[in-house]
Amino acid sequence: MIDAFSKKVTGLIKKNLNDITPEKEEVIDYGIKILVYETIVIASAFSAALFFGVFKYFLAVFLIYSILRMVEGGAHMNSRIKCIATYAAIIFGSIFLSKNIYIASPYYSIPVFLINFFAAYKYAPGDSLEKPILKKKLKVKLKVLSLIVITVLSLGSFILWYSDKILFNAALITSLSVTFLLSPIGYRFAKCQRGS
Amino acid sequence: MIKRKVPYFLSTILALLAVSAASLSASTSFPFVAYQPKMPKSLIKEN
Repeated sequence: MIDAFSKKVTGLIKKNLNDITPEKEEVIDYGIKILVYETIVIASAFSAALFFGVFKYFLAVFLIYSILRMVEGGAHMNSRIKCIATYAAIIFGSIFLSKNIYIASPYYSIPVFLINFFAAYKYAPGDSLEKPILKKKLKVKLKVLSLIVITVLSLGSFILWYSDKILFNAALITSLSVTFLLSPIGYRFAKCQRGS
Repeated sequence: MIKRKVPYFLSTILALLAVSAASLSASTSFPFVAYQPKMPKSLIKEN
């Protein structure tokens, strides 16, 4: 449905603008597919978070997950339905776990930091056959950004433990879920293949 | 005149948004939700 819709919108754009080459048309179609699907998923998740009264924690988990996935990448599902299910399980599962577990010390963030850092150092950026990352410069840039984001997040979560333990839990669990999707186990789970 | 300009304006805005999203996807690991449509070859070359 989304594919047909984006094709229709691209056709309308092509009709109204004169200088659209077939190459540009492909890029516009791809961009619209991404925009439409991301908007649907994010708007549904925001609405669900408001409905369940967990907006504050949702916002934290959403931001951490989005920023980490932007730089680290990782496995993608092979269908949109599986994608929505996984996304909802990760986001709302992280919130549920964060609210129901108690971590007695901020020092527990250190092993989590080491796991995340090591995984990002070894595997980031995680690409796919649908979207391979070929340029070495871009790979290095995304790897460095991943390591910086993980370090800043870990320092931030360490401090957060003293003010909001649920947010501390959320930062740890969400970062681990991104690391899982970046790891070879995550790729096998999603039946996704690396592109490079 | 206005009738002709509105679709042109909307198409330009939509095309700009779509190209920005595609460019962001080429330079980062966006989209971050767990589904990745096939990227066009011209963008893979830039990637």
